[in-house]
Amino acid sequence: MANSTQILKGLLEGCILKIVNNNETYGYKICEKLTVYGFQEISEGSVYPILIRLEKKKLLYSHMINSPLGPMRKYYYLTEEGVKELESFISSWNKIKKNIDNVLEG
Amino acid sequence: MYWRDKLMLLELRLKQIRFKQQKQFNGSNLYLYKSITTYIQNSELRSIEKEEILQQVMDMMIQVQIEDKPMNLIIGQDYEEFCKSIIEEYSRGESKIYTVLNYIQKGLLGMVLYSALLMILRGVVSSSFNLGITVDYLIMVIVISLIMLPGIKKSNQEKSSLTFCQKFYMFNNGVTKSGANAFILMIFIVGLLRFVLGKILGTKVFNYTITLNSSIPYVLLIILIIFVIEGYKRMDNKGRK
Repeated sequence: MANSTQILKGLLEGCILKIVNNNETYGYKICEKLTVYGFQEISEGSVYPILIRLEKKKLLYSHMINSPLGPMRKYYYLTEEGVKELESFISSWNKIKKNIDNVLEG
Repeated sequence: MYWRDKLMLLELRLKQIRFKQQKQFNGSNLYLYKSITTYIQNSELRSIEKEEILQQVMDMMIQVQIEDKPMNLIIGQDYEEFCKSIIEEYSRGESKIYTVLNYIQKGLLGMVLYSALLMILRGVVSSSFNLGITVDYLIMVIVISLIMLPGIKKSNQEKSSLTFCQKFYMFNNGVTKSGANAFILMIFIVGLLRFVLGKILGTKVFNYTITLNSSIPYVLLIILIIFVIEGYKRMDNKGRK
């Protein structure tokens, strides 16, 4: 299962889109939420690079605002394309999940 | 105000915030943050991109520190891998042409600046207003700008986690692989250029002084090339955004 990490990282993109879609949010909060959902190991060190990728793909856009901690913080939002991508991710995931369930149930 | 000026102001502001807020870090986190800073600063990203990255990393690291959680949460097990993946994401979609032109532009800029510096230094030392540099110095400037400086940048990334004392020790006990490669390549190319030029034009050519007056058309041409490349880079950046 050498590629399992890569597959999971691909799935992380979809999960991040969903988290951003629920609320305006920022890097640390996304890491925290993924940890709560059980993605700690896989999300370690990869959330910020994924946010950059999603922004470059124009699935997210961001605004930089002063954070209460001092530095400027980027808050992320979904673009229209991001919403479409999220819908497509959810639909694909449901299909894959159903197929795998079918296989496992034999 | 043009967007370019706005970006410059933003970059300056981010830099000020970074210098002020990094004091919040405790010893080990400051060390980690400074290592990340060195790695990112020695990359080929644009300065505004570097500042944006360092600002976001700082914001996340401060929050992790305040909540007393492990830094792995955002940085992962290896900060160099973390930096590499960030740089990779920013450079994604960058064409080979862009990379080559960027390298040429920086090399040409270095050549113009270092040649000007050497001309002024020679002028000051010899108390002469007739500014110029010898062919020997010009070869050195070209090789430093095109090979040595990019090599030093790469070498600085490899040494990003070292303290000043460690770097000093390394400097006296052999440099990093990239630094050593750049140095060997530099000596080889200087030797090769001298050999070829010596064979074609004779060894006296190395002492020939190229004056500023006689080289003005070439300098203008180089500056024009630098601006044309800059124009291409901006169009390419806009296209990728």
